[in-house]
Amino acid sequence: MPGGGDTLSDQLGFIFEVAACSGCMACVVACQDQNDLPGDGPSFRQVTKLEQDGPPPVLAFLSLSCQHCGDAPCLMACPTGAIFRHHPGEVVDVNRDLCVGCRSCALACPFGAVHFLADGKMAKCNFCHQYMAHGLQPACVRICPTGALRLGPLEDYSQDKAAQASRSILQAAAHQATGFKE
Amino acid sequence: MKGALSVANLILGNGGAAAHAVMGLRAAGYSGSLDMVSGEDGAGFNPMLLPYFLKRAINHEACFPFGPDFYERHGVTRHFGSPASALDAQARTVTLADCRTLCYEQCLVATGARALVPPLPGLADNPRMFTFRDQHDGLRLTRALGWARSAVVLGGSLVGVKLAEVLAGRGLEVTLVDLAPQLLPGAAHPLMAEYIRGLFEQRGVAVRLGHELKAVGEREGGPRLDFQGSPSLEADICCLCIGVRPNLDFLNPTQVPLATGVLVDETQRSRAPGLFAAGDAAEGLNAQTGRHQWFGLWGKACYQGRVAGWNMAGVSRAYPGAYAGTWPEFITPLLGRVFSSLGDPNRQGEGVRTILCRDQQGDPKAVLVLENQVLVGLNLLDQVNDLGLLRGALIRRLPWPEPRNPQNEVVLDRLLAELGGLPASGFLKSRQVLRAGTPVDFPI
Repeated sequence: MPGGGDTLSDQLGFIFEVAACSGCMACVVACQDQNDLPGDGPSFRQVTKLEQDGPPPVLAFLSLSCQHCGDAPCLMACPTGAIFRHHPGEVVDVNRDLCVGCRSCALACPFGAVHFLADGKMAKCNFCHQYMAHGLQPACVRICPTGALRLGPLEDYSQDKAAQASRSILQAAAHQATGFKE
Repeated sequence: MKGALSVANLILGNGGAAAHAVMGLRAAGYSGSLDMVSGEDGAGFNPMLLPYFLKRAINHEACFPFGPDFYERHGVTRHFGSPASALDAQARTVTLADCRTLCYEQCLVATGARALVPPLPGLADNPRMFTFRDQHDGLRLTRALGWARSAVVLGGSLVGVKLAEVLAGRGLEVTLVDLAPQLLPGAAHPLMAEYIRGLFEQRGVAVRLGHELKAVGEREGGPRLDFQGSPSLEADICCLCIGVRPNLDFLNPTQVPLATGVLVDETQRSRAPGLFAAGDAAEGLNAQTGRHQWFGLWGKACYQGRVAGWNMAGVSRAYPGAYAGTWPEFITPLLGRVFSSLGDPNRQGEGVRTILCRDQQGDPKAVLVLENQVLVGLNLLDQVNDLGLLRGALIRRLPWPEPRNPQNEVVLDRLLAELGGLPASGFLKSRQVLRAGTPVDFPI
């Protein structure tokens, strides 16, 4: 449902291969550089190391940025209409001129993907939208030396591949046994 | 009904819930007529933006997030300038203040709320008393800031503290007063409230708690506020921020069950046939308690409006979505910090345990309230990027790890590290967010 987030039509997404990521952090640096973010400040992309001493030992990396959710809670929470979607591509972006820095999006986002810069206004991954307008890929995708990060329409990402990626993440998570029961 | 205009879907109100109901109806494929009734004659206003307007962070036009062309874009017929004065839920008719009558098949009550003005002597008719709720309030108060040098803000809840901060920032001598023994009653744990009070006093704002207003008198140069058993206060202006009351005077409670707002289920339906309610006019179900609760928050109003729109269009959807959050929560920048509140940080009773987290200076960073080892309430200062994890634990009612410190006083970072081990985000157990230049520590 348009506006309701039930369709993947035209929706672009990052496609991440857990097994291919070496944790080199090039995507983080490329993101900071592309968006003129301070080296010691936030990056719109974060890499998380997953490790387990074993046996068997596990080491994996997860590179995450804004998920550009189909039904983006940040967009619903924004009181000014500063958060919007680009069409086509359904990219969730922010008009910083309209942002008042109220942090409603930070409360709404389940991924911690919104960031606030020194001026108090929100900034986030926008798939390097200005590059895409010229047929280029986002900086993090272009720099990735192993091809672990890609960008494409989610409709092209088959159920099988999605299930495979999910299994990889869940297998890594399974080794992080905690004893907590949901 | 003779002389009445028949409409299919009627929306009463013109705020966030109403706008999102319109968008929900259209998104669900409804292409028929849509009629909207509002007492105001213009675009929908967001009262949450008033502090930012007063602070001069945005102009007045920015307080109308949907824009003046919203109605044309969504095919809405406007009946503006005359609010609903009566609704007959049995006959399914709405009578407007100008005596026009509309017959509806389905109707959404999204009439919002107005500032609460208690019936105290001299209060309502004092020319220097200001409410802080609608677009006219904002403009009127802005004009007053051209000459006022001092202000008393009555009400220490979210709106009151925001207004006090803005007025102090614009150079006024401000006194913040509340009947309760703490600021942000209901939303802040007393320990966090006390810290925020200290922040206000550092900014030069006087805070008077436990003060019950008795009457407002006149004096040369402004109002005089008389309190029960406490010294009077004088200032150039008095700002009333003690709460709001839903605009539901046109409803008959014998036809439409009401509490603070119209009682609705998860689909925003009231118990009256064809009648929905959303936003400040509605009282939805709290996912934590299972009881009806009035929320009065912009984001929730928008979600409720959208759900109402979907269901009015025949698409069955329920409100309690994981991200919508059917529980009290808010976040706001305040005095150079970012304060957030989730759930019930003042929960008390058997099985309730409160964990206070302090920073290296000993100032509170977080208050976490557990009930039977499940997170039910939270106050947080800053730490915005960790909010999603904590909110996830609250939403999913996940068991909290046993505290390792018998004093129940641990630093927030350690708690967050423990929280990261919850199965919902299991891969975050040994979460180590790497930054550029961080050497990767290979364990093998």
